[in-house]
Amino acid sequence: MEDQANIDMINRYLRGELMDNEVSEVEKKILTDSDFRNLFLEMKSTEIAIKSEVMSEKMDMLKGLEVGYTQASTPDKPKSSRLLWITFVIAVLSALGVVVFNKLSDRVDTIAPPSMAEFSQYVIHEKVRSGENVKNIDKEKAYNLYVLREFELAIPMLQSLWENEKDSTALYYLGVSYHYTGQPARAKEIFENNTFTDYKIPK
Amino acid sequence: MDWIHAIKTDDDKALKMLYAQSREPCRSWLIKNYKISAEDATEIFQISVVILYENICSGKLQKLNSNINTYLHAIAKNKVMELRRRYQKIDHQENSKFLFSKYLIDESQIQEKNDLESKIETCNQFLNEIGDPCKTLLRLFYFGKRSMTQITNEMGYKNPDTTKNQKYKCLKRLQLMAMNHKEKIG
Repeated sequence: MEDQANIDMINRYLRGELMDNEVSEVEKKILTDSDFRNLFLEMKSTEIAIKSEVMSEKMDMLKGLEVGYTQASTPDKPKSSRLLWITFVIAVLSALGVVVFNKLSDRVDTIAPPSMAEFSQYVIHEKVRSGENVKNIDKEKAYNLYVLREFELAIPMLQSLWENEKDSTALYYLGVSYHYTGQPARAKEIFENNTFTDYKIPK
Repeated sequence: MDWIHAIKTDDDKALKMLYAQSREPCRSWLIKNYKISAEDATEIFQISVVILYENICSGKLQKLNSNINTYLHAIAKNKVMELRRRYQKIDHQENSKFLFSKYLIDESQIQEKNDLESKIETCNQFLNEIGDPCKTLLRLFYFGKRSMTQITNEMGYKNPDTTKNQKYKCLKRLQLMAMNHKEKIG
């Protein structure tokens, strides 16, 4: 019972819930009673261990997001090869346009999220480089969430960018996001009612 | 957007949004002002987001008097200074991880750092083994700073006394695991 009371007292001390006189009492006991001091260190270490475990988990999650950024930002290619690539995509898209749009109507409801390498073909905006100022934070945030394939979070922001700023890149991203969140009818509506000749349409 | 509320109620979603919004402004600012590499800037930005998260969950940060980016920049600035002092350069070796436990010990400015460090190491080993409901309960209590009543409601216990007893049992279990471990290694 005394042990439980001591644990309770120490935890309240660590959480800053004690009155001034109780704080003095705990601090005095830490200095004079070795069992109590040991118990205090155990409680303190438990608190720190739990906190650091949660923080490390969050850090891992953020590092996972960063992998997405790294894989999505393909290194700058020489302009001539980029131009060739774009011409090739346009040619392929023009030739296969009808087939692609027909296939769009046959999509299944649930589509597995694309791999980063596969998804990079649907990323069309110029990314802000380190050292540059971000001019439109909302746009940057929406685009970044899209690049991270956090479609559910990106959709409302992309929608707002399209509605308020008529941002056609946002509209294209919205279509792709709908596609990957199992909303084929909405994706189809966007891709059929707008012309995205330069961009890849997900199958 | 009320970031504090958002992070408290749906931490992963809010942290991902914060990450997307603040990544470039914060990294650019660090690179420009402290002349550090992009890699170091990214790591410092990530550490700052996690520290901001802890400050919100622990109740240290209850109200933002400025833009969240300004707050993040302030944390990042302190981290750059501290890491420069301590390590000269951040180590990006594969297995090197920023030790949040060391950061938390430093924050509490406790005298018995060595005793505490060895106890934390032992405790970390057993937190993975203890499993639920203990793990969730202890996390809500120590990290989430929830009251017994809040934990009772969140975890569906009968009343706060039952929750308190359960918490005591969990702590004793951790203690016992640590004692057995100590005996085993002699």
